[in-house]
Amino acid sequence: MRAEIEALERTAELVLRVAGDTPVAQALRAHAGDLVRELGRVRTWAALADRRALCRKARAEALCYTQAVLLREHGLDGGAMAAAEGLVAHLCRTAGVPPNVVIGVSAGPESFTRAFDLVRLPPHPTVWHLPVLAHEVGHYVVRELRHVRERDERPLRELADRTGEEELVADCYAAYTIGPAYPLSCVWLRIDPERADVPGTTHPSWRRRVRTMVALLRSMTAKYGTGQYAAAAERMILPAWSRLTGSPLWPEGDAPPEEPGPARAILTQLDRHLGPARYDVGPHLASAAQALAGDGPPGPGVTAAHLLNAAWSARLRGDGGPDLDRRALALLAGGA
Amino acid sequence: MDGRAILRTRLDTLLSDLAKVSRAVDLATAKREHIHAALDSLAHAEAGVRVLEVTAAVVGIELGAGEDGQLGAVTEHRLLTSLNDLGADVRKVQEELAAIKRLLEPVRDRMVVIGNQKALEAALQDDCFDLTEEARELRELADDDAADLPGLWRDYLGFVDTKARPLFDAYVDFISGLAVRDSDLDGSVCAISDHLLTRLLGQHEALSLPAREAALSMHAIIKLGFPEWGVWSVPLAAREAGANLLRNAKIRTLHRFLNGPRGRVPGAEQLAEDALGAFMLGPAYARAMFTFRLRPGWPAQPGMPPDTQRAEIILGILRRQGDPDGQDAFSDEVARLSAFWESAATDLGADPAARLDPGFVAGVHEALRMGRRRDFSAANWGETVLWARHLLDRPGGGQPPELVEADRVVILLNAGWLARLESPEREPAVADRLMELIRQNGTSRASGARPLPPPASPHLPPGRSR
Repeated sequence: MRAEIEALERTAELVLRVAGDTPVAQALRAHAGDLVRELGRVRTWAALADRRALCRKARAEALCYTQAVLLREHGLDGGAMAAAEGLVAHLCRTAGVPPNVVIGVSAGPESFTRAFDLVRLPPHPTVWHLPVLAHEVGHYVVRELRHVRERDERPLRELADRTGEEELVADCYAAYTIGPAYPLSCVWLRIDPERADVPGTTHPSWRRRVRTMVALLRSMTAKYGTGQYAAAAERMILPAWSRLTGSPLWPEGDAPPEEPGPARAILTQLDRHLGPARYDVGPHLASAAQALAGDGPPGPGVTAAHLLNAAWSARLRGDGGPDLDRRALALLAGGA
Repeated sequence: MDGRAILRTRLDTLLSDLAKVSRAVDLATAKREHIHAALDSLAHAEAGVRVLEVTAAVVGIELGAGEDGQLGAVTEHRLLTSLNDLGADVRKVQEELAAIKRLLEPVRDRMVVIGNQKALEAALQDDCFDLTEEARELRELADDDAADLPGLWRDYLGFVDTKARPLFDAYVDFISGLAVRDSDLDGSVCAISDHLLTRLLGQHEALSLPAREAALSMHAIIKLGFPEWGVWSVPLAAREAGANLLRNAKIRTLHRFLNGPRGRVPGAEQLAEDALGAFMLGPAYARAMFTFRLRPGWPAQPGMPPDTQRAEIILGILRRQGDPDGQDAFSDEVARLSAFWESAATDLGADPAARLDPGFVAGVHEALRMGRRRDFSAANWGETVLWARHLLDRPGGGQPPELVEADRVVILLNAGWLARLESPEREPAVADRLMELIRQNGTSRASGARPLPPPASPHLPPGRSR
């Protein structure tokens, strides 16, 4: 127990050295303090084993964060960490939640950890990978977003807890706030076609997730009377899914395409409490595309979400090269 | 229409990631080369200024001699002023150079010696190159409309899982480990561990880097698991050094034994790694393992033999290291360690009874002995005791003996543990002093060929007794 407590103290010290007196350092100290108190109450070896697992997780996360800070300081991340922070800032600002999400580095899959509100990313994500950040930030928003009137309530959290579908809520949040770029990124870069129908231990199957996102986009078109969302689903996402897996997202005889599943209920909550965060292509995609092509700065109103979608449009046209990636990361870092 | 375009996109992304890995490794190297180049330039500048200093002194003397001097009587006012000011100007430049040196020296101290790092970077780059070639082949096949698409997808996914991901893992650990080490967040413990690795494996054979979990990676990186970044955990690196020796089959006698009939016991290789740690490092290895890693009665760690067996082989090897007649203090120390482990096992309800085949322990020890690997011997224990007294400033301890350079770090680590056990309340002070003493090692790898400056405190200079 003493070794665990000392290890926690060293962990807090490590983060303090790289992060100073920032919210992440404070969160870590608070978390370490909780764990130390819990260790003090341990009376059995089984309980100690349980607490040790939590301590190990906390240490791993602190180190992930430290590594990200250092890679950035030493200029070894190609500007990706600053871009990720720019996108996180955009998402938190539009959601009206505190911008306390921090970025960690890991070679493993992207993930979110509540203890420090840490999102793990690979060390060199491209602009085409970054939409996944919106899904991970979605987990943060689920817990932080307050009810539009009853400020003590957490509507998304309540929905996620009640339905047990937090992953789908986070998917819908990502599709709602950054539009088609997120499902496109999933289909083009992440989904293993041989396991598209296999649920994971913590996540639903990719087929169910993409169906929910497509249903959300269709519902958004129906609700706002603009074809931009459904059109993106019909023209880009559904064909890509079919190409990837060799079968349509809704095979014949399966549920009807208009069946929205949980998407409608999620959209209702997103609309009510998160309306200003909704992605709207508006007149900004062309301006974002010009900026990505190096033809001057983005015009007023262009957001990080427009840049991500413009980058994906360019990629699907075959124009997505390293120069565009570099410019996109720089613009995201600059707070576009 | 098929998924070929998506597969091509993923392969392009993979190739781009591999290129980024390669570039980042180059960047890390270049950064170190700049620091070392700057320090070399600084050394040249200092030498040049010393020449100027001598010249200024000579000029001063000659000017002082007036018409009798070799310069004769200098009457031109500006020239005279310049010559008179020369000494002061030189001193000013010297002070500025010294200030720059003070800024750069700590950085150099933390920087891994370039030759060693380059070898590891080359290994990473080689892996990167091989994988890039393989990914390019897959990419070319993806362009071929006649190629079997489901087969290509399987090849791609298998390639990512079994080859690309492990490389990215190694890369993240390597590059971020260097960054943590350069920033001194490890408290210079990697530099201390490098001293030990030099003793156990030879110069430039391995590199210590701070990481999440302790492990041997890329054949030669000894990862020190966080939060075990302290001098007391340094002996744990001996296990990873043992893994390096085993995997590279550097001890032929041990390799033969493990592949022979008596060496085929479950977990033999992992047990042999512990045996090597104890053989090369002595009781300090057991102390560190019992304190930080092994837990009697707990389920075995994944892929490892039970902790009870690991403790058994560590103690078994140490018992055989002492004099056969048991007439030295080393056997007492092993008896204390043994009693400590048995008591912990009893307290925790574990059965401390021997479970390993005694023939296996004896066979491993004999193979190590025949392998002529430098071991921790009973003779080293006498020096350990004297150095432990020195660490504690015990009166009547006398001057600690001069240490053979090759044994220095091992004896100091053992002395440190002994001192800590004798005076647990002085542990922080002992740790500081121990770090300082080990860093005085003349074979410093943390600073490359440049030995560290002597400390201001009255500790022993490298390899000499007072």
